[in-house]
Formats: sequence, structure tokens, C-alpha cells
Amino acid sequence: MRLSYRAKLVLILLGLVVVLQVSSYIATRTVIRDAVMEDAYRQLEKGSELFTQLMQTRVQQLAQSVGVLTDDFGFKDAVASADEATIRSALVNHAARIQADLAIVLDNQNQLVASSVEAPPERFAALERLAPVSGSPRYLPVVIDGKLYQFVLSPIMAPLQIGTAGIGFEVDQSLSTHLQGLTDLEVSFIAALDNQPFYLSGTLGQQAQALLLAEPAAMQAQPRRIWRSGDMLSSAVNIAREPQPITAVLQVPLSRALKPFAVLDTQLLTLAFSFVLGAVVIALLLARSVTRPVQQLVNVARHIAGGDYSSPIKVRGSDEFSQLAHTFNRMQSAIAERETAIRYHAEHDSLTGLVNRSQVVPQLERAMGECRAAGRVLAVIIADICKFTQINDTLSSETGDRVLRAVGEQLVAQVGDTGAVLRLGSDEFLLLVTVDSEPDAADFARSLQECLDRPLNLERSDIKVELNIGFALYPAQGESSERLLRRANLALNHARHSNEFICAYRQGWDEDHLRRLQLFADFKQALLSDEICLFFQPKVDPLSRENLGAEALIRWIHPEFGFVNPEEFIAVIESAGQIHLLTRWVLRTAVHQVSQLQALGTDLTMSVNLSALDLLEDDFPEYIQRLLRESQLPASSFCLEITESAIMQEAERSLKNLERLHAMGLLISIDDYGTGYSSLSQMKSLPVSELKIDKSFVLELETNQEDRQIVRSTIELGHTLGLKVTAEGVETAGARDWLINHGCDILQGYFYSKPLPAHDFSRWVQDYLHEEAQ
Amino acid sequence: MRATGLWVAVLLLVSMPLRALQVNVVDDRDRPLSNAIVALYASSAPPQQGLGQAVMDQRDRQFVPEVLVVQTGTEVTFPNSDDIRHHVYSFSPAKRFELRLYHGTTAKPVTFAQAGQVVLGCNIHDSMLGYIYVVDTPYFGLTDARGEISLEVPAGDYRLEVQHPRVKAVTEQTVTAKSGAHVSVNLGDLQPDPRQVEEKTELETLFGP
Repeated sequence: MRLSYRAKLVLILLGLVVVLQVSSYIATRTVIRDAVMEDAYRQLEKGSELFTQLMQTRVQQLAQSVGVLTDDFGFKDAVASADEATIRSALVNHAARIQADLAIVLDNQNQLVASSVEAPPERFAALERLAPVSGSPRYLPVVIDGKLYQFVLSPIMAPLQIGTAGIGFEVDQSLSTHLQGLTDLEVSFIAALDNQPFYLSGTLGQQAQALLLAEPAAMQAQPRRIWRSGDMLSSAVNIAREPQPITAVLQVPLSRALKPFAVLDTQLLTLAFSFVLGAVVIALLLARSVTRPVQQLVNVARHIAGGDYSSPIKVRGSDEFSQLAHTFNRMQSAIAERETAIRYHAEHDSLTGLVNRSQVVPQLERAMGECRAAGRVLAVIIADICKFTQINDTLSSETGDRVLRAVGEQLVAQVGDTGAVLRLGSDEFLLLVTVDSEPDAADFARSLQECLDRPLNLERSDIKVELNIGFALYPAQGESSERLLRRANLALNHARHSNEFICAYRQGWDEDHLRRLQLFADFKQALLSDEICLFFQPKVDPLSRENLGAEALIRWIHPEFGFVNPEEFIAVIESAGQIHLLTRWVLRTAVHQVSQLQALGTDLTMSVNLSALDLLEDDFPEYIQRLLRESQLPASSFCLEITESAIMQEAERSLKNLERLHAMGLLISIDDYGTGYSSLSQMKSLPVSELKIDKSFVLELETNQEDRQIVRSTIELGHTLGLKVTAEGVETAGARDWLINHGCDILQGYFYSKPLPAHDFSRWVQDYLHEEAQ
Repeated sequence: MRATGLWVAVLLLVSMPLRALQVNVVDDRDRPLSNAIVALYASSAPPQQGLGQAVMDQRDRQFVPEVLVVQTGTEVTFPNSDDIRHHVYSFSPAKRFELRLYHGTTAKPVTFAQAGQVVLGCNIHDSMLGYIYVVDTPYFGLTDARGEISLEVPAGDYRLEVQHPRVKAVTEQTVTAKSGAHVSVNLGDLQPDPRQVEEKTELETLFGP
């Protein structure tokens, strides 16, 4: 469980107070309780003493009374003469003097002679069992008729003993109550009658009586022995052993002894609770005084985390928290400054001071919003500096930087307050300009171009630069920032590649662009799912049917776009650098086809088109080597067709690979010959075995004189260089005948067959060879 | 006093041939018992009513003699030889009387007509204890310190009665008086001397620890 600091503080303080209170409460309680207990013990001891004295006093009182009685001559006379009435009256008289309960006279055989109370003689049978009293008075507690009497018996001497007189107090409830009043103890008199404890009288209630009788200690009085049982602290005083044991039990109910203590206890408890309560309040206040500033700081820290640095903490006092608050305040402003700087750097280009790429979308969207609200047109203009790399390369990057800065300044000056200038990166600038109509946008673009007509006055030299400008208009040419930027870029690209310098976005560009993106996205899946497949077009040697070849051509039937022009998607794939995937797939498929045909007993030379980029891959020859090894086909079964322009890009590396491929025994063909700018000397040094005349020269061969001349001279040139010459695009018998007559070695075109799927091509091959056999 | 008694007896018997009867009285442990009352009752002849006199003096808060034996009808005087007053009484059935506080010989003599034991006490001085044994025969006496007494009686059969203050029962037996007759009487167990009982009390320490 996680506790807040405040809760912890409160808990600790509270815990301390509670522990303190509890321990002091327990200690006080223990001390008081001990004191009370000790008091109870002392009370019991004192009570026992008092009780004993009281009993003693009573006995002495009795003894005195009985002494007076037995000394009385008249009484002796009455006893001697057995004058019962007189005796009784004397007894009653004497008993009344000391408020004794019973007075008796026994004869020398302990037979009752007279008693102060009228009762049947059998009641006094217990007296007969007493040992005869002679000589001196004797104290005897006797149970008569279930009542305990303290008796003092004295012989009646006249002058010899003529009987015994006794006077006794009943140990009754009133005595117990009296004793209780004096000693504040519970008093009980217990007799063992026939070994059964019997409660004679006392102050206890029924239940307590039963409990007391159940205790063995009650009948075994021992001096100064105090025992505790249940609620009672007890001590016993022996009253008599004969003729039956009688004990007085004195008790202090602890509950009573502890009663004053209970009040104290309650007070202590109340005190402890109020202390705890007070501690809670103090702890809460203390915690508050600690946690409130902390909470304040936390809140401010949260604000700071949320980017709000403008909520200073009110500082009061000069304690640690105030210092911290001061620091927080200083920190806030410092962070705010730094953040402003960081944001500025993040949003601005350090070189030109213009807003940078990161702000393109927000700024564009803001501008779009403003234009939408104002019902105006937003020109999203992207401009770059023509041949900026050259400036960088030929002059210096410092000069380049100066140029960028100067151009930026010019652009800003030109835009003024009609829009904003952002630097997209490198030499590209984005201008967001609000205009009233589409022509205004074009005019503005032109004004940009014109403002740079004057050479830039740099530190040491003047440099003249030109801009490529492309733009798209909001809302006419796009509703979203992304689309607008893309379309402006497309326009810029167009401006770059045409020589227009300024180009507005035109309908359809974006769609083409998106189609290319789609094609690229679908390409890999298409390879796997047979959407892309190979078609084969035969290459025929008019002189020898056995010298048969074929060109593998890629076909992509896109589920959405249908037939896709290979040139289109190859360009896309090349631009994405994925052409090697396609080439290798083509190679594998072509090898497979050749193997199949070979299995049917047909050998042919399979031509595969290579991209310029394939030749730049260093491991390309190894890959072909591996394919050949795996398929066990001779290298001469394959011809690699490469366009002139392909070879001419990075000629050195391409040439190196070409030579290796050639050395492996592969045939190499120059494709689309005549469309490039290859020089003869280059041609000469190439390890090429075939020239392939582009079909654009062949298609109109019959009607176009120029084409015929070009084809004728090309055939001658090829033969001169020792190369075979192939013509593609042969569609008519006329063209075929012309080409055969002019020595063209191999013909390819619809005249023979259109490109065929693998299966159809196999059949075509069979048919073709079969014709020959005929 | 005793001498007087004897003397009277002797006078009464002069006319008859007398025989001395020796009586020995012992207790249960054969110790000679003094102050034992020995009386002989003739079986035939009715006893002659004596009109003798006897004295029970009081000296030093004691009855003197301690034991007095008289024949029925004897008049006993109770002179007070002390210089304090005494209050002599008896609740004995044989003779109840009371001589209220008196000095010297002011008290009237008391006649003991009925045989039996008369216990004397003084209401003022509890320790005073005296006995008068009243016998209905002229032949009686007290044993001496040796427990002996010799009674001279006419020959014949007698009932011998022996009593003692410390023996409850009366011992009786028949004897024949003849020359040299000798009777030994064992009175058995003695009761404690009432005056010797210790005055101790347990009342003081009844409930003490």
C-alpha cells in the first residue's frame, strides 16, 4: 500500500501518541490497580483483625455477663432450688442487659434447666453433647437449631458446681451486617455440619454463598491467609473446631474495591482518548503545514510538466519550503526561456532563420483555415534553386549557405505579409501565399522568379540563381495539407524536369503518382501471387529453325488496374531500388521455362531484360552462376538484354559485371539500339554479341526511307563489329523479307508470334519445329 | 469439737459392753484418705436422737474444721473468728440455710435435723468451702491423717457407711463389731479438689492468630 507523506506523518505522530498513551494508561492502571488490590488486602487484614476483636469483645461481654449471673447469690439460690421460673426470669433479665439472644442454665448433666426463650427442650440437644464446663467460663460457639450462637458458659458454684449458666449472642444477619458496616467486608459464617459446609448467615447473596461453599479454603482457616477466587478476595477466621468447625469468612469483592478505580479508569481512558484526539488534530495540522506547500509545489510542477510556466508560487516565510518555492519560481522562468529558445530552434532553420519543415503542416493548415474563412485562394508554392548542388560543389558550401540565406531573404521580402516562407530542407522553400485567384498565383510565382533576376550580392561575388517553382492551389487542387504538398511537389518535379521553371499542378498528376505508389505497394505481393508472370516471344533465325530464341517479357495483370505497362511499373520498382527482386524472379522463371523446354527436347536461347541497376550489383554474376549450376543449363542458353543507356550509366562498374557475365559464357545483347547516344568506340569495347534494333525503326520499315537506311546501316555496323543483329517489331511479311534480304540475323515480332504465356509458348515452339520437320 | 463428739458417744455407750472397730480408708491407689466420714448403723436398735452441739468456726477465710460430722438433731454454731464478715449459706437439700453477714458469734446456731451432706459456702468468699455431714447414728467419726479411725461400739452387726467430699458415692458394707475387728474400705477414684481447680481462662485468646 502506498501512503502519502501526509498520511505517514499523521500515522507516525499518532502511533507515537497512541503508544505513549497506551503505555502510560497501562502503567497507571497497573499501579492504581495494584494499589487498589493492596488496599483490598490491607482492608481484609484490618477487617479480619477488627472482626476478631469484635468477636473477642462480644465474648468478653458475654463472659462478663455470665460471670455476673453466676455470682449472683439469688440466682444460685434459684438454681439450687430448681426454681425454674425464677431462673428463667433471671436469665431473661441478664440477657436483656447485654442484648444477648439466648441464656440458659444446664444442670450438672448438661440437661437444660431453663432458658431465656421458650422452646422445646429438644432444640437444645446440641448442648447436651458439650463437654461439661467446670472451674472457669468457657467460650463455645454452638449451632442450635441451625443458628450459630456465641456462647460463654460458666459453672454455677454454690460453692460446689450446681449447674452451668450460659449466655450467647446469635451470630445472625444483623451481626454480619454490623460487621460489614464496621469493616466494609462481606461477612459469612459457615459451619461444617456432617462434613457438609453450611452457610449459617452472612451478607452474601445466594449465588456468592454457593460459590463460597464450593471453596475448600473456606473451611480451612489459616491465620493471615488471603486467597482470591473469582471476584472475591477472601480470608477466613476460625470460630470453632468443636463440636463442629465454624469459620467466618471475610471477603472483599474486587469489583467493589475496584469501583472507585473504574471511575478513575474511565477518566484515564477519556484523558487518553482526548490526548489521541488532540494528537490527531495536531498531527493533521502539522501534516497540513508540511504537505500543503508540498502539494502547492506538486501542483506547480504539474503545471510546469504541462508546459505552463506562468504560475508562480506565492512565497511566505523563509523556511525550506519557501526556498524550494523560490527555486521553483526561478526554475519556471528558466525553463520557459529555454523552452522558447528550444522551440525556436526546433521550429526555425538555423541557417536562414526561416520556419522549418516541422511547422509545415501546422502552418499550412492554419493558412488553409484562414483562406477558407476569407474565401480566398491559397497558393502552396514549393521552390528550389536550380543546380544548387553545382553551386555547392563548384564554389563552396559556405557560398551555398550564403545563397540559401540570400534567397530566403529575397523570398521573405517578396512574400511580405501576404504569406509565409518556410525552408523545407536543402534548397527547397515552401511559400504559403494568399491570393485572390488562380492567375494571381501564377503571377506571384513569376514575380518570385523575377525578383531573382538581379544577381545576389554576396560578400565577395555576385551570383545569379534561378528557381524551379511548382505550386498547387487551395481549395481547388486539394483540401488536405498532405495532398496540397504532394501536388505542389509534383508540380515542382515537373518544373525541374521540363524546362518550364514555373509549373502549376495539373489534373491527373497526382493520380499517376498515387498509381505508381499503389503499384509499388502491391508489387511484392503480386510476385508471390502470380499476378506478375512471364510471357515469351520467339526470336526466329530465318535461316535456321533450330536456332530458336525467345525473349521473356513481364506481364502484370493488376486486380485493380488490369494490364500494367511493364515500363511503368519497372520504372516505379527501379526508383524504389527493388528491381533486383524482379530481375531475379524473372531469371528464375526463365530458367524454369528453359528447363521445361529442354525436357521436351527443345533447346533455345532465352533472352532476359536487365535493368541498369542490376549491372551495378556486385553479386549479380554470382547469382546467375548459382542459378545455372542449380539448373545445370549451359550459360549459352541465356542472353541478357541491356539497353544502351543502362550500360552508359556508371559505365565502369557495369562493364566490369558485363565482362564477368560474358566470361561465364552468357550472351549479351544491346537492346533498343538506336535510341541512345552510344558511341561506336564504346560499342566496340563492349563484350556484346548482339545488337537489337529498336522496334520504332522496324515498325514502319516498309514506308519510311529513313528507317530503312538506319536499319540497313545498323545491320552493317553490327556485322562489321562481329555482332549478330536482331530486329524486333517485325509485323509484316514485307518487313520480314526486307530484313532477311538485308542480312538481319534474327527476327522477332507479331509476324511470328505475339508474346505468349508459358504453356502456349511451349505449344508454339512444338508447332514451329514441327513445321520445319514437314 | 471432734473430742466432744466422741465424748458424747462414749457417754451414750457406757452401759453397753463396747468393742473397738478399726476402719481403714484408702483411695484407689491405696493411699490413706483423711477426712473420710465413717458411720456405723446398728441394724437392730433404733438410733438415739442426739441433742449435741457442734461448732463450725471460720478462721482465715476457711471453714474450720473443713469437714464436720454431726448426728441428726445436732445444733451447730457458726462463730466467726475472722475480723471480716462472712455470709454462710448452704443450698444442700439436707439443710438449706443462710447466715447473713455477721461478726463473731452473733449468728444463731443451726440445727441439722436431716441426715445428708451439707455443703457450706460463703457468699462473699467464693473460695470458702466446708462440709457438714449429718448422720443418723451415734457411731461415726472422721479418719485421721493415716486414714484410720477406731470406733467403739456395742458388739453386733452394723451397716458401715463411708463417704468423702471428693467421692460422690457412699460406700456401704455390713460389718460385725467384735474385738479386734478391722475393716478396710477403698473409696476408689477421688474427684479433684474443687478448691484446687485452676482459674485459667481461654477467653482472652480465642480468636488470636
